Amino acid sequence: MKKLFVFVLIADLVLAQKIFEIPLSPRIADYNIWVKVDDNSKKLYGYEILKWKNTSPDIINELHFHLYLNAFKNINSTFMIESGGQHRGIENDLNKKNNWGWIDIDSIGNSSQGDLTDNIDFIHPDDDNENDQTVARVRLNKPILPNQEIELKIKFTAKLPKIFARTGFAKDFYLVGQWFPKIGVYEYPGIRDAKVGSWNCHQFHSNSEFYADYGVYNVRITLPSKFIVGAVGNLIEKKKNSNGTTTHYFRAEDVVDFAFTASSRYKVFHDQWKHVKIELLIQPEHLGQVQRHFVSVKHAMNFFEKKLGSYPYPNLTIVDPPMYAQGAGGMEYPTFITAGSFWGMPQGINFTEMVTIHEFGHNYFMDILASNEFEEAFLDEGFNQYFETRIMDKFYGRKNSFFNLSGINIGDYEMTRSGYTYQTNPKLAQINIKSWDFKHGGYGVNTYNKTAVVLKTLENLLGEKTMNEIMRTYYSRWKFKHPSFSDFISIANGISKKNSGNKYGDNLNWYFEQTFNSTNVCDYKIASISNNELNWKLGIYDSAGTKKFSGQNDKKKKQYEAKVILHRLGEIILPVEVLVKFSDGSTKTENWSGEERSKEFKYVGKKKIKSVHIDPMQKISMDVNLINNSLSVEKDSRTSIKFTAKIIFWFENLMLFFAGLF
Amino acid sequence: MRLKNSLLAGFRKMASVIKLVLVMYSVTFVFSFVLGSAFSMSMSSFKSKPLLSELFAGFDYTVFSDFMHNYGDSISPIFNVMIMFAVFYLLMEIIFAGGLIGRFHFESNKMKAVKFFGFGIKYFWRYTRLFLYKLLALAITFGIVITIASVFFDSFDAGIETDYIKVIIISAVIFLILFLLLSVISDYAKIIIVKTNLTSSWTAIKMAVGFVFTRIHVVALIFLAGIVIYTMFTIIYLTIAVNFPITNMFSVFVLFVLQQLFIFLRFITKTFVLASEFSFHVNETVNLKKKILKGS
Repeated sequence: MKKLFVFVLIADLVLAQKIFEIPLSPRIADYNIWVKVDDNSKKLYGYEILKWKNTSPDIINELHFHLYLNAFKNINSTFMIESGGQHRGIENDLNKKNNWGWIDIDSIGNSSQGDLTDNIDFIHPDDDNENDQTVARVRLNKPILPNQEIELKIKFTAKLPKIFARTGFAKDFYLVGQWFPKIGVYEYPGIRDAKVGSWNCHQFHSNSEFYADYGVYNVRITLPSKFIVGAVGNLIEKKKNSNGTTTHYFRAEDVVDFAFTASSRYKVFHDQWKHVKIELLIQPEHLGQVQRHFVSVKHAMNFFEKKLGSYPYPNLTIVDPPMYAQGAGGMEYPTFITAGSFWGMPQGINFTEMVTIHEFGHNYFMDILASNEFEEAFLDEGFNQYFETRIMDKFYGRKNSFFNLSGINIGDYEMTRSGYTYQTNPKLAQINIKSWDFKHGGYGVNTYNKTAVVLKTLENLLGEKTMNEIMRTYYSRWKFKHPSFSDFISIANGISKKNSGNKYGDNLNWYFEQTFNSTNVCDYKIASISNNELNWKLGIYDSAGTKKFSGQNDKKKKQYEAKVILHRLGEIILPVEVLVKFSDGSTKTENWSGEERSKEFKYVGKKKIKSVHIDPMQKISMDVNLINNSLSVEKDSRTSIKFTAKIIFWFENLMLFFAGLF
Repeated sequence: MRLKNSLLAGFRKMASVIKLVLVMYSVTFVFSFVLGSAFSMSMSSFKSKPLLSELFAGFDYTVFSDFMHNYGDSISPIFNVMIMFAVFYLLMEIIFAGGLIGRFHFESNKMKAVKFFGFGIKYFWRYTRLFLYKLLALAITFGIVITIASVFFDSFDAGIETDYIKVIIISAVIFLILFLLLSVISDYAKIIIVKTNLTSSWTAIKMAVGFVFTRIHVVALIFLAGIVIYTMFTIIYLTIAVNFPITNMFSVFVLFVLQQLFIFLRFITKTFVLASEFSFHVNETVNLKKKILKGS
């Protein structure tokens, strides 16, 4: 039996269909996994062969593994302590035994190392939580030398939780993510900002997502034949077994993760974009939204191709989770995304489009640019949010890309910006901190919204062309690697200098320091406008030995000292343009470095200042209050009257509603 | 025939009290105008902010959200006052109803506003008790509907959204029907109080229930006629308002006039329904007396 198994294994590996002739990535961690899903107990019985390559110059004496599912083992895991048993507002009923999840390594080892099962212990590199079992250390019997490979055979059993945080089951639906023993990333000088070699294998936190090395995944999933299955990578083979189950064999190359879904309710649709086969697994009650998924993802594919590079994989699977498994929605895996839609969603609400575009974008910023989402989550979420708003606004309209119903219109970028500016305390946290350090909130708004707003402001300052060049260079230089924020900064500095010279100083460090590494806010204000008449002839004047009185000015010679005073209320210092409009219709654009707390512009002449606008093009959209950026001498009552009329009407209706109760 | 006669009589009665309708509309307008003026004053300091002018021609989310976030506190007290005003207006409505039905009953063509309000005050406490009974009935009805709906919700054990939507729609329709039924009973109870000078609101309700359920088809159709007319006005108004371009102050004025016309028509419809119900009740009780006399 064992020989037969080995034969089947070797035959499978030999016959495995290659996707890419030339590998796209370093392929450090390759996985062959056989997993059986028990639909009754919601358990996974898995066997994993991990081939890990030591690309570092160090001798490796221990391996670190993520056991993510142990986050759902009990209330003492770091994830549960931090999250309080909920994720994005979705709660899990913790009183039901079946709702919990866990993973055990039953055995681990190989012929050279022997049985390493007893060498496993749980570590907690991020906190002192001894109860957390999401990171396991395996001490090796023999070290792994530089450029050596190790092949480990791992038998594991996992119990899926009820879905509330991305992974698990809900009735007949499965979204199985972060489900197998997954090796961490060994970082050494040259990878991100590492100074010395060490494992980067963080515990599962409530806020954080993931970080992994590239590899090839050959995964065979066996489960009852009633299920329709989708997964990361390509479906290579589907084989019916005699016991009423089917084995689905998926292969994915040059990816950082593997997840799969199963449900008997799925309706399956296909579409094509250039070389990419798109598969949509959608709930029957959402059939009216099939095209919304396809159209929006194609918009995203086109945009990313033009701005960064072509989507390299041959396929993409979009999963539409049911309402009872909302916790699985809006999540990304390589070539495999979960979107979100609701029955009867009107065309004017582009929620499905927004989620689909956003999750697809992660293929670039999470997978192809495999940043460390534990430590620099904004490099994925925030950069992707910035691209999401660009795509949404380009294809669905800048002012109505997210919402356009009954005269109310909201653009996706506008909504993203207001998410940042509408905070009660925008100084709660800075963007660039580790995801679990957002102890009192602010993870979402900083990682997604503020990052997108800061990048949009940078685009407005440098120009779209320069920003595109920065992003494209960042992508092409770091694709299929692990970039860090400092890598992005050095590219931005180089391209900015090349295109703009010293316009922004030697580099853009001043910008990134203020925006990513501080909690400071930006707020400019026009404090006052004054137009003082210069009575330069009023008084007694000596003229040919006599004293002559001069009364009011000659109207034709009337002169004014027109003055505007600007304030910088926030701590962030950015250069701004100031547009001054004069009474004679002329305009003047001033440049203010923004360094002083207050600044005065003065004009002496026949014309008065009519109005002043700081940043008239609204380039600095990170300014938390745009209303105080402009001031006019003349008062415009139109808006006030319009809304007063509306208030009167609304109130009359409210009173009649109350009267209707009698 | 009974329906047609009641509606025609109702229309004539409504036409005869058009000045009183105007009075009721005017009171409502004055209330709203006071509040609107307070809003306008609170906006005065923003008239020199050019960015806010973006909100004149249409909606701008960025301007709106920045304004509400940074200055929303300056106008939010007005919305609190609005609720207090609305509750006070409810008391006014009780007076209006008494005045109006008093006018229908006593058929005084030269009725002055003083007399109108006199009737309103005369029936105020009886009508207030009636209102409290109705409010209690509404709360109980709402509680029952919500409880039944939540039983269905729980039975789904995490279902799909169409399951929930179906329950929500069915519950809402059931509640609406019961609400309308309570409103009709309340209307006839008001009429009975005035016509029979009953001091007990509870007795009036019991009589109204008997009246309504023995003639449910006509009673329902009269009320339905009012709903159809009101719905028609609403559709016409919304069709115009949604497509009405705000380009200058004149267009603001025209839309405002249109809005006020819509409100006035709401009063007309409401009065017409009450007048038709009154006429129907009068006819029915006259017919009943005739039958009794014939029988004796």
